[in-house]
Amino acid sequence: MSLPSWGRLRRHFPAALPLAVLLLVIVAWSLRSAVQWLGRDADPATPGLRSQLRATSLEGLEPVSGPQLRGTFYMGIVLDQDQIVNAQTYADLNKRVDSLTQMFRTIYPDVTVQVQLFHSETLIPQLTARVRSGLGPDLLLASGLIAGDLYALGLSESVLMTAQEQQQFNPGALERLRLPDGRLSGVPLLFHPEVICFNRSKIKTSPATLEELLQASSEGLRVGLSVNPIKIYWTAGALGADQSLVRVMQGETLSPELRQRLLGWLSWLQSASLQQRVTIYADQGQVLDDFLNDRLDWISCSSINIPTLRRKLGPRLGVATMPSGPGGEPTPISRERVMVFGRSSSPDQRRIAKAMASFSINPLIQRSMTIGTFSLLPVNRFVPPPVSSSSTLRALVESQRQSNATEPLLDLLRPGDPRLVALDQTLVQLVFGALSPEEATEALIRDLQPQPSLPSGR
Amino acid sequence: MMHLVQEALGWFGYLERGSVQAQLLLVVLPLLGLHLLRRRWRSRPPLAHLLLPLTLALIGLGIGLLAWAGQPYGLALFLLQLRSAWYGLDLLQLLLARLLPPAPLHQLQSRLIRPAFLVLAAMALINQLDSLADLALISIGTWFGVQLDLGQLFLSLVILYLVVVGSGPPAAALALLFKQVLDIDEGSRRAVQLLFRYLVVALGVVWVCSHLGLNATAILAIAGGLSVGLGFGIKEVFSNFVSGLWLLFEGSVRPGEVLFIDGDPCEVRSLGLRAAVLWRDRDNAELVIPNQTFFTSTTTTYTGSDRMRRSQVSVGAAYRHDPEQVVALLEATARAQTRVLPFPPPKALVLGYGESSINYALRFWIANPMDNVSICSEVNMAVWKAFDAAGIEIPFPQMVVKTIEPASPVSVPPSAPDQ
Repeated sequence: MSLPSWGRLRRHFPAALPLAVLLLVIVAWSLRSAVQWLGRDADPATPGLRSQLRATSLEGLEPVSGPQLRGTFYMGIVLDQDQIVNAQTYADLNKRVDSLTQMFRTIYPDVTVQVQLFHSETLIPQLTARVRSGLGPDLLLASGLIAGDLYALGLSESVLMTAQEQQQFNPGALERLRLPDGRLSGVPLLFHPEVICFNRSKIKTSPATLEELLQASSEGLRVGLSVNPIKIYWTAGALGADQSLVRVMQGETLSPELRQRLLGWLSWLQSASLQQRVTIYADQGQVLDDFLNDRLDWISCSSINIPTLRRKLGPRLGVATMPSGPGGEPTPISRERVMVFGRSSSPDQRRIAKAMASFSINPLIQRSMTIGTFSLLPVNRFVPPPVSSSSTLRALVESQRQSNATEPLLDLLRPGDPRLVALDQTLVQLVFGALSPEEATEALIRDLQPQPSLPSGR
Repeated sequence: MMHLVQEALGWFGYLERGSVQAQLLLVVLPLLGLHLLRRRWRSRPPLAHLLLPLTLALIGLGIGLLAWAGQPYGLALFLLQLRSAWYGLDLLQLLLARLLPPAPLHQLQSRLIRPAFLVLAAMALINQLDSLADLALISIGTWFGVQLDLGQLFLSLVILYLVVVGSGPPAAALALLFKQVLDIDEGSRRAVQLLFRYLVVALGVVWVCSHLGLNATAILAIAGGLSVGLGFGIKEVFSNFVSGLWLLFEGSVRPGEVLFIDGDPCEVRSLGLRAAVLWRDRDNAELVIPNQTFFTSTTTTYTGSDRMRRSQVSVGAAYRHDPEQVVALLEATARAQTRVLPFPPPKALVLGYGESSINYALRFWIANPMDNVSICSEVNMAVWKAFDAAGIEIPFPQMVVKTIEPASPVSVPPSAPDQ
């Protein structure tokens, strides 16, 4: 018995071809649906069954005393652009993470924690490739500024914390992570404030004002500053220009007084760069390197680098708040670290990630991380840092308080905002004398106007 | 090092994810099926050849379906690319087979292309599962006072391997250039090539020491350790290495030279770090002789100052033929041979008077000492034909036996009968 040929089939049944095509389409569509049902959706707007189950499971964090968990859990850590990365710092970082994971494993001994490092400059393409392969981290420690972007790009899951869990944080810390549907793009973990690091063997105490700083520089103190807008923004507050920048970014027309303050800030930057012992760098990494190698005595730095600097300088390392100026207090930008949930996790790994998040914001662990490194601040508002016993923590807390004034700016900016690039370029041209303060003022007013295509920072 | 092991073990945790399992199955199952079908259809080559491309296409379709359904597919795509690239290497080999002789092609494939592909593929796979840049920062301890990390060690090993394996073709090209520019002979070209290779390897070792940050004190410590080692275990190895270098400079045992070993001419094929490899024409054997043998014993070479060899055949002619006629005939016969050099001219000599014949020697020069036996054979045959045509006898050994008769007794005539 032989099968009928295609020609005979068409002769006896003319609709065979369209029916075959239709059958193929139905089979392909059924396969796609089956694969979608078995897995999960790429598009969060049309969740499949797994996604719905998973979304339900993200209601609240896993209680620490929850059921026993087991398996391998992947934790990603995003390194900042100015973070020194070498064999020594890599070993230190692993040691610090180990201390956290060891504590976690006392509760969940069957959990193995693997650490993946990401670099902030290449985070998006790296994470996209990993998620596309199903190899993304279960929990990512990233900057709070980028958490919303990761969710918008489909690279992370949102989380809805219970009211009781939310009470542990300052409302401001959560609001920046809140999505339009009320969920959160991440869970706050810690703060890395921006401070002054100085060499105690060269100067006993850090200058309290910008005037004293320039005076100390003229007497031999070697000062290093980065022209990076995020790193240099503290001087804008000290010289009263922070409000001018915010207003320009909001699209408002500057009053003569605000314009004058902006001009005053830029003039100070240019005159400071002309000082013999004040060096303004384009790259913060170079500032740290020169400080480590005793070519600088006083720099602005993120508290994340304090362990590295302390290992090299020992007790000679001094940590202080930024100097104030004629415009008032400085406005350092503090970095908030948040925990972002990955999209590649298995159900068990997701539960471990939630358990880890819950564990990390536990007051006991927050305090332990703070006094274990003296380089970060807890986000849990029920954990007061022991400032009376540590001048470093005192400086961090004070700097964190000052950084509250930068929230209006952070609300307007997103990572990769072209206005940040424009600000950076204008400042570089200013400190190298290619632009006068007046020209730089005009350039900033022109370039920092809001751009309609950019979404809001929140 | 423990950290590295932990990292590697951690990669297996991805298998807990359903999406990873699905991608692996999508790639592994069809390849397994391909393996089984190939064994069954081995006798049907056209079909067997089509199986792999069809399987890869099938996996590609599966990946397309995963992508269409919005599921993770990157790992499967990566594995498909790896398998396709391996298949591409087979095609590349076919292409290279048209350009290169089998031996260099095999060396290129087995020592450079395929190992390089495997290393790159392993690195790319690790980069999928982890971060190479971060793994490179894992410390492997302090060596000779220098803190070494995994990246430095790996890079050093790769550079050393590339230098040792990959320096051959550039060295050969440079030596060829030298030959053309300086008009050196083939043996010198090979020596120059080998010296270039040693030079590149030495520079590579120095670079690696510098890259690792080994200071002079550490290098001296290594040298001290080596000297003790040389005194005991590796004396012979070092002796052979130094002998090899010396022989190269001296030029007596360079690749292409012809030496007389145990009564046979042998051509030097290569001069390695430990031993020289010689080819014996008589039985196509390769002799591996330690370098120091040439350094400490007498060596007969046919290619010291030139490659010519003086050969000789011997023949005998009957006593009745005029020696002048025979000598002239022998010289003319040798001159007629194409592989006998016209200059210096062939020379026939009367060696002596033998028992059966007058013995002659025909001496002539040839260009390649390795052809001695075959040319002698040709000359011998030509001599036989020439003697035959000229009616000159090559006598068998002759022995004249003279029988001496004993003296006859006095005969007494028989007595007459009674008459």
